[in-house]
Amino acid sequence: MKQTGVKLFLVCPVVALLVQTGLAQTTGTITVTGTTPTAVSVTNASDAALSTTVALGSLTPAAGGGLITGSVQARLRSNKAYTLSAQAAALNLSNPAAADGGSSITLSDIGFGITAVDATGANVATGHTDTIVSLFNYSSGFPAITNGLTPFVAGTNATLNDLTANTQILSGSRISAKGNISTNNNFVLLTLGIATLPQYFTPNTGFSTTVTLTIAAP
Amino acid sequence: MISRHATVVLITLSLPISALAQNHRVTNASDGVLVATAGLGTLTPGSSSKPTATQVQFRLRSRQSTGYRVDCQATFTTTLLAVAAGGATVSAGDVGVGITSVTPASGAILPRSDVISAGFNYDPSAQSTVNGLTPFAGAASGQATLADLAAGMKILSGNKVNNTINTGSSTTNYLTVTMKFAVVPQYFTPANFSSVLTLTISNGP
Repeated sequence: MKQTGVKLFLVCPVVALLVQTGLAQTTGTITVTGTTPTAVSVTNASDAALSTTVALGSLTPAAGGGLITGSVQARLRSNKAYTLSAQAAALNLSNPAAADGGSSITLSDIGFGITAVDATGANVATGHTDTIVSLFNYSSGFPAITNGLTPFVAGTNATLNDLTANTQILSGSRISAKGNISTNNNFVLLTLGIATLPQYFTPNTGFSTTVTLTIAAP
Repeated sequence: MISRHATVVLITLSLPISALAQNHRVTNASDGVLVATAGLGTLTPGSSSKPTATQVQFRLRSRQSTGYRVDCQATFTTTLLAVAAGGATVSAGDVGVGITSVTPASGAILPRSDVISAGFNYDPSAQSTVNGLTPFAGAASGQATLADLAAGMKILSGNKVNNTINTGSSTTNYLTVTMKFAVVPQYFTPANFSSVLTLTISNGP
């Protein structure tokens, strides 16, 4: 038996044309990146840091009488659902006289709550809603005075005594559609009310407390 | 028995376009491949009337007798970190883009007749916000944004730069282009965003 093998190898020689392909740069790319983070703010009505003093003045008891009130306005902004909480420091009395069996003014004698929420700006997020924690909802006003005594009922009408710990007073959906802290129509305008009834409390030359507001987007 | 073994090795040479045949080149400011990142960072809204800005510089070389043109096309993507909930999310229209300078190196042919396309000849970082909102009105109003580049368009053109397009530290045959990007930090929906701009240089004008 005859075996004939024909092996054919055709190899095209590779000519190494060393072209400078890597230098043929007629295109390039630029990647622009950024992050718009979760953002919240609480400012005063002029868009500056909120640091306001509410002076209730000299609280001289009178017949009948009425609540001495004060208010603070704050602008809230957020790009997410938010919560607003408040905390009151201990009441500081200056130069108190002897109590002599009477009562001194306390945090429970100072009503505190939300009297108005305005979210009507053009750059407020569509469908925005706010919910006031019922205890702090004074949108219908402070309670009437009965018998010349503090009208705030514990558990029903909020006082600064309800804020001895950081406590949520308001929440809501996203507030701001866009814009920054200078934008005049992307915020919730919050009005906080403070009230107390002048009574024959133990004399002092002044009292004070600081309420700290904190907005968060959990 | 007769057996035949035939092996054919075919090698196809696909010759890419050689730089030797190129008339243009776009590189970064070190003559490397232009793959730049312009980070605008974390854009926390504040009270400033000025946008947050960043810039990229790149070099153009052209030996084409009819000059060059640079086209740019931009994509824009966002990754939401929270629901929009009735608010706005940053978009391509919120990012201003402009060419703030075209500077010839010492070997560039003079006089120059480089032309920045309408709307791109401005500094977006120098714009002031109105009511804390995006100030860029679009290329048609002289303040281009990335939205103007969605379909791609010419942003720059000019005459021949030099007789060569060689690169290297000793070369002076290029134009340095400065491109700026700016955005006003706002209460946009929490998100990450990115935009990829593809620059292409070709025969002008």
